[in-house]
Amino acid sequence: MRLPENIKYGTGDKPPLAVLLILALQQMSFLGVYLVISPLFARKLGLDHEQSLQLISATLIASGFGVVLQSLRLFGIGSGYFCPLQATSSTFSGLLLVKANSGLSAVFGMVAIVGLAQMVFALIFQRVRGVFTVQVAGLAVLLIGLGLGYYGIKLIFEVEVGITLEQKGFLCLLTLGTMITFNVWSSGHLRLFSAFLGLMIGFIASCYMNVIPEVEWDVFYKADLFYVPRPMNIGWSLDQSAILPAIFTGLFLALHGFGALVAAQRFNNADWKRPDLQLVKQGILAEGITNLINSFLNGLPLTSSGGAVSLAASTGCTSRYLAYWLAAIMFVLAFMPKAIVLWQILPLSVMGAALIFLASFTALSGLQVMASRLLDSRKTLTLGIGLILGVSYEPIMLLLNENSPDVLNNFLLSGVSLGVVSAVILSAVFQIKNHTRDQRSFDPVQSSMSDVVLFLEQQGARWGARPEIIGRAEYAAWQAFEVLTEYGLIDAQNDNDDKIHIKTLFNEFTFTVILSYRGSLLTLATECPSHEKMLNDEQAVMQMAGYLLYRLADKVRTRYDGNHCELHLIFND
Amino acid sequence: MLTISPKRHAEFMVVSLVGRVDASNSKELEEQCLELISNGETKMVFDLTEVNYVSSAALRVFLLAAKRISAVDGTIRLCGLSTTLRDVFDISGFSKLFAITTTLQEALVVE
Repeated sequence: MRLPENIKYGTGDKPPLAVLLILALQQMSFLGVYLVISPLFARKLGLDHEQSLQLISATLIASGFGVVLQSLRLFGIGSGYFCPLQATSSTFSGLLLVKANSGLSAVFGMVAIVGLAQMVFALIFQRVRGVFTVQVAGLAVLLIGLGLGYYGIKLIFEVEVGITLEQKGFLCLLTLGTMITFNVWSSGHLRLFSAFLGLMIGFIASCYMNVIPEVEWDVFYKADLFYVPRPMNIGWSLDQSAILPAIFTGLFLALHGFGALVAAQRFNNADWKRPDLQLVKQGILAEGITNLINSFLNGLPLTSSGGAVSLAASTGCTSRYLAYWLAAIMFVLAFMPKAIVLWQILPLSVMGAALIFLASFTALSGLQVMASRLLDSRKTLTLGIGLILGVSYEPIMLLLNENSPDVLNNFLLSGVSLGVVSAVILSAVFQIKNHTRDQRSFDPVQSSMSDVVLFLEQQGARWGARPEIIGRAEYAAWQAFEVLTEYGLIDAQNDNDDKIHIKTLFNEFTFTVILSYRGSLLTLATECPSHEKMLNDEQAVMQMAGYLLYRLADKVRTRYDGNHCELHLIFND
Repeated sequence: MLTISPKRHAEFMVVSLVGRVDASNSKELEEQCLELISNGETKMVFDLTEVNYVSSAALRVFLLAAKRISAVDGTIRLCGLSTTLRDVFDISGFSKLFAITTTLQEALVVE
């Protein structure tokens, strides 16, 4: 695996301690922006100040546990990448729906079901990859990025006490400008710390301009420096009505995680071609386990953060050692209310600028994932309609005037869920007749190998898969044709029956070549003939051919119905 | 269709192959190779840059040539294999029999 040029420290590299510490603080300052949404949500849930702090502490502890679990990759759990977990406002609608129907404690029971749903979807994604495609995951990340940016803009233009619009504009430009300047025009350590520097300068300028209200400073001064978080202080219960919203929430969190993990893979490999679905599965399993634990801690649902992954890549360090330091900082902060409150008093314009900076990376990493494969008309429509519905969430809700049927409410939770669920449904619908077929018959005596080569090359080009897979498929088909024609496996009875019919059948993931003929079955070999046997036994050449077919194709099948033989060569992209 | 072009490069006899090496032309390749070895060639390089297919029958020819040349303390090197051909040589265990290089220049390096 070749590291991209912009990555200074890759997954396995260990940066110097001081660099690790500042990078971990930078990641914390980014993820801290997400933590600010926790008090907003706590207000909606009707939690008091103490419960609000407990909610944030629990989320921090779970997040710290999750980032370590994700990077350790133990016992088939975790992707091995630096992929921090974040809370997302996209889950709030579902949580609020459950709170309204079943009470506050059911909210945290729902988080457990979300975790279980993520784990189930992690297993499903690998099996039904035609529906849960990498492009759908990219759409989830793109929509989350757009939602984040939209939220950032809202924060900037929201009316705040004690600060004028000009001051807000100045703070926003200063914060965003600092981040951009260090990220684009600097190198080395300054680029590594661009987001952190922007937030710091924005905060210092806010203090200097005296735009943070006294009442918020009071909250900061009164907050304890240390306290001991109390897990389960709000409550925990399971309610039947929470199941459906939890499954939908689990689906788009799993898809979000899918997108973030694919982005992490892309950012760490200059030669990236396709997602490693085994690692994606392990990564989403880690997220699910984290949310199960998180549920009992009374924290908010978490998912892999595409923004944090993008931040790590954009600043040039994706080392997994960063995960351990980030987790340590998260654990320490969970015990420090004063530090938690610091994020709450950060002016909205500074926060909004940071969100726009990070949303750019999140949204664009989603776009990159979406564009990582060829988009045919089915995918274009799936992604296009999903995207349009996702960004049109507010007008749709306005149109429905909150009178939508209950079934719809379960996935009309947010723009992300609406867009992603629509894309998944369309993706499933477009599985109908998604195979392209072609067939040609070849005379084993008259046809030259060039005819077969030409036909298979045309089919391989139409398939559009990776060249090495097309190369394997062509090679195996040629080898099969050669063995059939050169070693007398074809019965020559009459003009119609002595032909070899080559049928190709393909979709995005699979290319199948079926050779049907009248004659004897080709014997596949699971063991390679020895070199001595190859030299002394003419039949060993056929055994070698059977062995090559067995090894080159992902699946090989032979069939004989008493009249015709079939050889199926199946290749996966 | 296979074109076989032997050409001397200092102490090496470079056999450039163009096309597909299959059952229909492997006998021709076998005869030419064995003739070169019989004529005293001990350092041979097969340039497979322009080859897109080597069937199991053709693998046997390479094996035979390797056996004959090793009997006279000679060596055979292969270069320019495509990804698929490299896979085929790896799967068949033939890549252990030959020194395989990416380019002809690398194959012509005197050790």
